Amino acid sequence: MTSYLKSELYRLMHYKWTYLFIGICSLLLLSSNVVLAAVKTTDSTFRYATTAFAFSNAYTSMAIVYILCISVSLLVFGNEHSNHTMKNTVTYGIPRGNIYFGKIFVQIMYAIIAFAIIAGVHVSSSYLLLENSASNDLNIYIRTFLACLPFFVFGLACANTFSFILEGSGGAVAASSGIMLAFPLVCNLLGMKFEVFAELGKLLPANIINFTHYDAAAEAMIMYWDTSAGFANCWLYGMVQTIIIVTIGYLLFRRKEIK
Amino acid sequence: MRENILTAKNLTKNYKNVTALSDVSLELMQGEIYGLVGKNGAGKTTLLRIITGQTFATAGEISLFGINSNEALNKERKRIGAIVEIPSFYHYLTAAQNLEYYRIQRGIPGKNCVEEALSEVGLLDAGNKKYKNFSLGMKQRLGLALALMNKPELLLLDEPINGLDPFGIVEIRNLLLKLNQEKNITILISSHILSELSNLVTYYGFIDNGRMVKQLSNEALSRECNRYLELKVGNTEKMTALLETELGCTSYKVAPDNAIHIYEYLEQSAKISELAVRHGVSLNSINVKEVNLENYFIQLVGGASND
Repeated sequence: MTSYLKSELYRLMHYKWTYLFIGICSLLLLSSNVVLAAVKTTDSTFRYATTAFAFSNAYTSMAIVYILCISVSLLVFGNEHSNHTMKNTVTYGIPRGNIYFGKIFVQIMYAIIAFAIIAGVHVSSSYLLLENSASNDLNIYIRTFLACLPFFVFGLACANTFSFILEGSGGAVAASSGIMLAFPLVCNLLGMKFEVFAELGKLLPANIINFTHYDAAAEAMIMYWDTSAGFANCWLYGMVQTIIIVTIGYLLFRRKEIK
Repeated sequence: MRENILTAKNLTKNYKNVTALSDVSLELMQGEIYGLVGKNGAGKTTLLRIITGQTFATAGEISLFGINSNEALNKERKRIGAIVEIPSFYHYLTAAQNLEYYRIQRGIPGKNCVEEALSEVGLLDAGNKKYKNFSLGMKQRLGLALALMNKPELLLLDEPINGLDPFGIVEIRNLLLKLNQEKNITILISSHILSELSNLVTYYGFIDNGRMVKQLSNEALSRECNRYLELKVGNTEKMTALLETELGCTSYKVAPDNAIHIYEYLEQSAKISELAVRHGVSLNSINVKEVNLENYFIQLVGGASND
């Protein structure tokens, strides 16, 4: 397993999109802060050039990070099917378990590093360019990330599973999007009529991440993971669903024909 | 005593409605160069894919270096080198980076094996060239470099000369011969370009429609492909008796359609025809015939009906 992980890291280090992905995401968040700061210089009454606004914007947009997990997974997967490179690995006796779990491990590792860099650029540029609100928003930002982490892992595992069992990346994206985004939506719609779907929908990552609303009375964002029980549920639901999808994927990949 | 390197027993591979391999068995002993001959779609690649673990047999079993349990086979696969179908690599990496990636993955010690492998296949100067810019011939060479990098004991090569120019073909053939003779590497090579195999292999397996039609040694094949005198006569019994008593000829074979294949007297056909005429055996035709490998293969798998 160690050799496989090392080789994957070597490959990623020599792939330009490894850096471009982080660069582009960082640049987008940096530019949002630059725009806020630029507006503030022209309009002194502008209220949103603050770290509180920048951070709350980020932690209420975790659904985007969730969707980006599909891109991260595909980036690390490296078009193994269309490049026909996985056959080399299998031919030389690398166990399929090492390949399957190794890929997920590298994806999680890369995703965490990428998020840390991107969030680091965002946070530091917020403090450098915007007015410091001296609020609790950075703590909420961190707590939100930690609460959503198992859902991101589920997103990576889901895309990884479909990348392994389907031949094309298009199919993997469609299937992952279906499970990660469309299925929760369908559950919500059916839940209006059937209670069982409403209950099922409450367990799904996309619905939990989107469970965010503004409490005008308290003047604060209300999120699923505000309470300890909510936070624990995020981890419980995320991990259970990850284990299910990873197990299904592995069982299918074990007997899959590699071309 | 020579070690048994690879055994395939009654391998069958079915896809939904198609049987790609049917009850195929073969055995490779150490130091052999086994030529797997078959036209496109005959089942050569399927067989190699089962051996390399890319796909699984519906029935039958394989053993590598005497080991046949599924888990242990993976370990034994570290001792082989293989090209199955067109070699495939990451297009954004250079040749050297691609080999380095697999070197790390396979846990091969020593970075210099990458350079050695590139040098062995004549790609040292192209080591820093990206794979996406490689020609088919260069891709084949890189595939061979990957196969050689771990100093394998068994090489499995699926059409390795596809895309190579004539110089490349000779070069690779000489390299394979050298590896076989100097390092005692056992080779299983598949091809439909029979003339190339005839200069290389020691044992042949002819495969058609997923079935192993015939297996024979190079010597046996040479005997079967020998030049001979084909005699078509009215009475084969009388003629064969005359050949034996009058000329002392024993190297002949009675073939269908009143034909006799004589493997002697190739330059003295007049003597044979004179013998037939003198003893009143009606002689319909007398010709020198030769079966080349291509003709032999076509005859074996049923000729044009299989095209």
